[in-house]
Amino acid sequence: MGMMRILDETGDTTVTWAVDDPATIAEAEALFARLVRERKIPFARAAGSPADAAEKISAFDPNAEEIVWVRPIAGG
Amino acid sequence: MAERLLESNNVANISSNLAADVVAIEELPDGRRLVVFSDRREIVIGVVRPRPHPVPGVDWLWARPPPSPRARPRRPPRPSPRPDARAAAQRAEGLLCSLLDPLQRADWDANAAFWVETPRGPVRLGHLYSLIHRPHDRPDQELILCVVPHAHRELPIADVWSNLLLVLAVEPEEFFRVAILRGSRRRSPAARC
Repeated sequence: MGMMRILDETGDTTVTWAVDDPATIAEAEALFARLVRERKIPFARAAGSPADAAEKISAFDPNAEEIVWVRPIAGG
Repeated sequence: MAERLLESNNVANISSNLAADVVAIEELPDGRRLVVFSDRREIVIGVVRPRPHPVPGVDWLWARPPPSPRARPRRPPRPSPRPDARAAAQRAEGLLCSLLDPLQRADWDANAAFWVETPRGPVRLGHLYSLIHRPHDRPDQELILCVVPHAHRELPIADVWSNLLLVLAVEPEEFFRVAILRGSRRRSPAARC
């Protein structure tokens, strides 16, 4: 079971998929594409591992344990 | 010596209660009356007549009754975080804590801030708009940087730190590329390491 966590006003919204369920994978993949279009940035990590063990990804990986979506940054 | 009898305006009643005769009654400008008796005693009777303040729209300070605690306008209640906002903050805090290493976690728990190591030098997250950066190539200086996620005000604050932490830890050059330098200051000798 993989999970995406998308940072938002609720803390984050989670979307899960199962590697043996093509339908959930397709949904997660479509969401991944939409979030990329929204310029959000995906970081994959093993569940619970610290930030310095995360990796920026450019394509949906159904085997990822967790993908944390952050927002683009700017000078304030 | 004049006495003030604010509740009575009846000279005859007062006179009848005194042994002396009234020899003069003088109207005072504020609507009361000064009564002079044959034994030279004087009293003031009556109630002060309210008169309008000469400046339109302004009232005498003494003319306004002090507000009673009930009538005092209530300050609008300070908005306490809504249950969903509290839940969001807790959720964001949980994610942030899961992204911190043990040293960062201890710092966060103690100081609500933590250092993130980068090839250019550590950056301290914890004060929005004032992120401290201690560049390796300027050991006597620390820089104050400002970097925020897009629409960061929508996010619980812990999400802001998770956002910046991930970018700093994985793509530090992107962080420094967009950072705005807000100032610099001398590093304390203890911090020059």
